[in-house]
Amino acid sequence: MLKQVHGGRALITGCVAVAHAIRLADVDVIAAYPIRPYTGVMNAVAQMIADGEFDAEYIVADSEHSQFEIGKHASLVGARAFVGSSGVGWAYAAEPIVITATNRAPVVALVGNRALDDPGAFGTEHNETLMTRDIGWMFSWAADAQEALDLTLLAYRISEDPEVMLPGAVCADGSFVTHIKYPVEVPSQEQVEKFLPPYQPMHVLHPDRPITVAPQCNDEYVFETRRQMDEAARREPEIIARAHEEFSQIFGRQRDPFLERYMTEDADVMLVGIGSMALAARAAVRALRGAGRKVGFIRVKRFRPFPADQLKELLLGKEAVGVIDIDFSFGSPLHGGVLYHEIRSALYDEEDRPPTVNFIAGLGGRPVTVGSLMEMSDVTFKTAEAGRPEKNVHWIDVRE
Amino acid sequence: MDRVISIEANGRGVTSDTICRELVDTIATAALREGKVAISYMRYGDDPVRVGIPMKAFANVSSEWEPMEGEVARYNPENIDVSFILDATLAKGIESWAHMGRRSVLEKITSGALVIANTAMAPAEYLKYLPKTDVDYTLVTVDGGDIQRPSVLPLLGALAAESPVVSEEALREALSDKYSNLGGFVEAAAKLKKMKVRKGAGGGPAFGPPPRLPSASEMPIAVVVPAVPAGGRNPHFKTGSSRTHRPIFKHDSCVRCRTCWIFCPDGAVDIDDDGYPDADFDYCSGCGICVEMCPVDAIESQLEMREGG
Repeated sequence: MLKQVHGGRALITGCVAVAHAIRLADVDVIAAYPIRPYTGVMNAVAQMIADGEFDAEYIVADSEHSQFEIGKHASLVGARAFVGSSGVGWAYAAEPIVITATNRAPVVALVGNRALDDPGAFGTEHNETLMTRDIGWMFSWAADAQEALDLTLLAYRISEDPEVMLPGAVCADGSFVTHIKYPVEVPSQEQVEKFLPPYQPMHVLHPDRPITVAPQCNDEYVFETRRQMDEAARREPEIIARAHEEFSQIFGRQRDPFLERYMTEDADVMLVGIGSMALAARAAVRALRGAGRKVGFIRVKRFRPFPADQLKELLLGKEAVGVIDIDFSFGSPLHGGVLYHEIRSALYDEEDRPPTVNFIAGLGGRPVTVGSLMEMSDVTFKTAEAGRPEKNVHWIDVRE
Repeated sequence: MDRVISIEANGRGVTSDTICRELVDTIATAALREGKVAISYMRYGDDPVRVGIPMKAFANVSSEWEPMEGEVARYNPENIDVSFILDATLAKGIESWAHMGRRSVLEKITSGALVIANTAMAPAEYLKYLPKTDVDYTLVTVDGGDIQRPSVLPLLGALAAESPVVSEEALREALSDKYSNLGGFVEAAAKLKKMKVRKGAGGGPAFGPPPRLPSASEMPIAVVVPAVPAGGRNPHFKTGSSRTHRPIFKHDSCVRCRTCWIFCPDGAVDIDDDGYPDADFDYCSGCGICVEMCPVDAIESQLEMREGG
């Protein structure tokens, strides 16, 4: 199935790239329920199993809720498990999504980002992911098909680390990452085995050692389980950094675990965004640099754990920062996006914090073009000149 | 090649979507093999494909990755340098990804573009069906062996003969993964017919500018849109673009029973003052249900476009 094109690269979509990561990670149980754009992954995995290239238990559930229950249970009895969904599918699975984290099941999921209904739309928005940001899942965000493959392998390594044992989702923009065929380097089985040790569950259900999983309890125990999760979340950055270090040694990619830095070193102002917009952002930054505008772009690759320290290192002392959200948070402190509020919160206590401005862009999957990014850059430079934002939140490319 | 070259394949869901994808994937693969960079994709809104509904697939090719970056995260390329028309009836128009109604199959071609159509007609004959353009382009016709499901070999042979986007050798190598006999590819150069088309030429349907979309302040609140009144038809969604065969109503044998009118899934049958049916070809999708249901065989199905018109 994997057609080698040139120098080990195959021309495949982000969904198929993730399916190869699942095959290479030798996942034991795949629980599936279709909703586009995630569906591309389950289709590709089913094809691999049908073609005899991959052996796994493949269960098509009756809904996303059951699908995520199956993934969680499989993980808790010692199977490496994969699930995934998009938009309202992810929302429908919200209950088992929460419990997967509280049960400390290191399930890996692919979120093919899709706008929440209504109106029913296929295009990307990041809100379905962000509505589950506070419950213990880790979220990484791919900019292209290669990164979707890489982050899936990394997600298993990080989630299954005994110091973490929390689920991880790889997020990929609908259409732009999930459905565009890019040249992708698909690593060998030997490389992946070197990177990813077999999964060791924390507790094994066995008649000789009886356990009860997830009993009913109230304030006498709940508080402490939250504390355990907080401690694990605080350990994540170090485990993530170590995993990326080893990954880059073996595969030659993914050196930076948290941020992509594009022409940031001497930048006067900085744009910050998530996901596939980075491609157009790089093009915009090059064009602006050509015109003498010293702008840099930072792509946030991981939203949980949030790379606050790494962002502070790059943003403090800058003349202005423009944060781009492909999401919304209605009624939030500044009526802006989720990433914007997180970044402002991270900078608040620092003396040399820059003025910040927010751009709501790309909603419903409307492409964030080079032209849109030039406009955002202009507003950010104006914010730098004024020393404070004229207004905090700008909706870009919307018909007002 | 210091800019991104965009290739488009126009086809129909299920009928030729795999052929569209094979075309653009083969071109992208050939480009990668000769050290260029390439991506390919199906138009997102066409997937999953629907039977007979017009659809598009694309490839972008560039000598370097950097010029590509501004062009990747899109639903279609803005400027098409090479366009394949897999089914000649697509000259009627093709729906866009968004709610823009039916648009010209040549809407996005750029000045000097190469248009390769699968038809046995000569270019001058096929031009009678194509919409006018505001750019000059080269029209090539090549007989792909089937009016709806052509072989990719002669189409890619025509590309190799007429465009430098990828080399003939790289295309040949990419095709060799699947085909042992490349005869159709090799012979295309001698068999194709071509002509230069000046802007403003073309006898096909006229398409106005895209519709103006309303602003947030103009739209009704709460995801509500005005519906088409009973008995009316949606002026923005003319389903006739999916038609490859058309019903011919023979009034001399019609018994005016209205079975066709009842069963038409698109509500595209009109009854005239004397009680006889006829199709509204803006909306008739050519599904053939009326032909099947007619109790007296008074409806005949004909190919939408035949040699000689």
